[in-house]
Amino acid sequence: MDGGIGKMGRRRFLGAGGAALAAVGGGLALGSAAEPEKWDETYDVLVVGTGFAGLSAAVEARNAGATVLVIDKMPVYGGNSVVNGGDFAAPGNSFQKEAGIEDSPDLMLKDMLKAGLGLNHPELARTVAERANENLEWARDYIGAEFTRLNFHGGHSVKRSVQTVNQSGSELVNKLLGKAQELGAEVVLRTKMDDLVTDASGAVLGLKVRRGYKWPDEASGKAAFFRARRGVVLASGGFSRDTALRMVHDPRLTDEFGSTNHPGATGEALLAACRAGAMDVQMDWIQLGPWTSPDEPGFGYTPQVCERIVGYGLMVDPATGKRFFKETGNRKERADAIIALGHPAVILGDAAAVGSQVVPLGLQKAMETGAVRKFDSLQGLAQAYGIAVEPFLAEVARWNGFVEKKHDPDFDCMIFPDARPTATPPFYAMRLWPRVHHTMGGLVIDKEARVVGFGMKPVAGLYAAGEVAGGVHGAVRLGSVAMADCVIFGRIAGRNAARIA
Amino acid sequence: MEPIRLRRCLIVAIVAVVATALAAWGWAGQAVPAPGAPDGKPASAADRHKAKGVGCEGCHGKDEPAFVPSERCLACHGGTAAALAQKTAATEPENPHASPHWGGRMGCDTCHRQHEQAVDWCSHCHSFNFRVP
Repeated sequence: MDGGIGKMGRRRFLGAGGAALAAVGGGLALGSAAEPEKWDETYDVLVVGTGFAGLSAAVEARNAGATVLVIDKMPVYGGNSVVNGGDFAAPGNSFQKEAGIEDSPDLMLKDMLKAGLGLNHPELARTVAERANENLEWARDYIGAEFTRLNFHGGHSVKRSVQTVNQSGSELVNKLLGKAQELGAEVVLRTKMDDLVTDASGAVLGLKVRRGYKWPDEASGKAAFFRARRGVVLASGGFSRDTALRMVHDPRLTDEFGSTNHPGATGEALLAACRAGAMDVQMDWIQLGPWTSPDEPGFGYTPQVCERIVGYGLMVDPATGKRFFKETGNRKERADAIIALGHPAVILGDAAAVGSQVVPLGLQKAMETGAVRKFDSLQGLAQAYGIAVEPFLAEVARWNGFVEKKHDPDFDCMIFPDARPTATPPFYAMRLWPRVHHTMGGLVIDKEARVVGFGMKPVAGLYAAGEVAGGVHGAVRLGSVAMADCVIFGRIAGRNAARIA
Repeated sequence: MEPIRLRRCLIVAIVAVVATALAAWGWAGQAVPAPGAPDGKPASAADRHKAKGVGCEGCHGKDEPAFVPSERCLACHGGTAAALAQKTAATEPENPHASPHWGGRMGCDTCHRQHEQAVDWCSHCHSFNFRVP
């Protein structure tokens, strides 16, 4: 453990800011690439990553007058954003006003800091809470993404998450891509960043990339040098799919845990930035999503059912038939509680809860995969999951009593005003087993999205936004705050990178 | 036992290397049966293209071999991404060409690899079990 990675993170201490360095360990050069004799491409701003953050940066950089190239290593664009659930947390949004829900940036900040155990860098978290709604409106009015629902996510005090028309981040990604291209930004796939190129002072000049990279073949592609006259924006996402890197920071997260992420969610760009002098922070806070099903792969459809019925239905340990944790708790707490059981939990809702809260198409898809199952009776449900019937029925009756009083003395679950006892057939149920979902840690940024280096000063010419950056969410990211985080800091990074130094 | 097995492996390896080298040189005038296809049936999608008269240049043009833009695939397969999606609308359990994530912007060769095993890209998150040609 004392070997490569620790040294890589601290390569600045080796001195030699930015000069080409000899290969050490693992065949990777520690440091950045030196300036080439000839640049293959030259733009004002280079963006790495085609998710919410990268494309938001591209739009803003173009609008600031910069020429822009966006690269992505994968054969498809959009990273995790294009497979995400499409929820955007924004206090004071128009849907809340219509529903008569009182909310404020201060309340959202309070929720973020509570879930984040106070480890959030306060100025970053405040930036997200304060600017979320204006950025939701930008995504809707300027970019043209359609949002149609107001949702609740565990750990928030109120319903404040507005969801896209197709319950997927793809609605916003595709509109952002269209806007970026319409404005003249160029987007190329299968182009992988290998290293930052820096000058002798450590300032970022551009990227060393591989064109024609064929994920996941690390031997593929041809090296090229791309110059960024004004700045580089890293928006390359997190490392949930990088088992080796995540186990450096949390050795418990072996490959026994699957991930909700797209297969390219690995840490090479983040580590390349560290090699060039960027500082990393809170890398061991890695979040598991408590709403994934072991009965379907990846993110799946289950989260869109499970997360809609928390606060309406109950979650039990099939071994005892009893509840064991607050259904509306934050992701970290809930995932930890399920893992502590040692086997999947079961959550259920009745026809009234599921009918009023879950999008019918999502329910249908989740049932087609077999992850969500329908039962005519609670007895039948219990038997199907191997739950002892009597204790389970007693627990449902106990829960229903709490629902009537809108108060849960056992686990303090938030019970919504329109929640009704779980009593109307058919009943819907699903098994839950957590998967690695979000890496809260990443590159240190300031509120201008400038990457901070081991010299405790910004690395000239380098910006970061979205999951590759750390500190916004502290210990735990609340559901639906990533979309806000990515758009807000992506735009800030794009604008600032486009500035002429 | 052991030496014979090694020798056999060596012979197979040499034949494979020579065949690959000849294929790369453009010596093969017709589809080379791929290993694992003893009936001589073309195994790779590129071979099937070639068997139908679409050789290297049919997809790659005069340029050096590289990723082929989807427009070139669509010129023969459907005309437009939307029209192609129409053609496969009845595929169960989902239409592979109408992804809610990428829609018609997904590159054909994301799944339809010509010189290697085809890929069901959806299978990273879904169990559609598409049989990709």
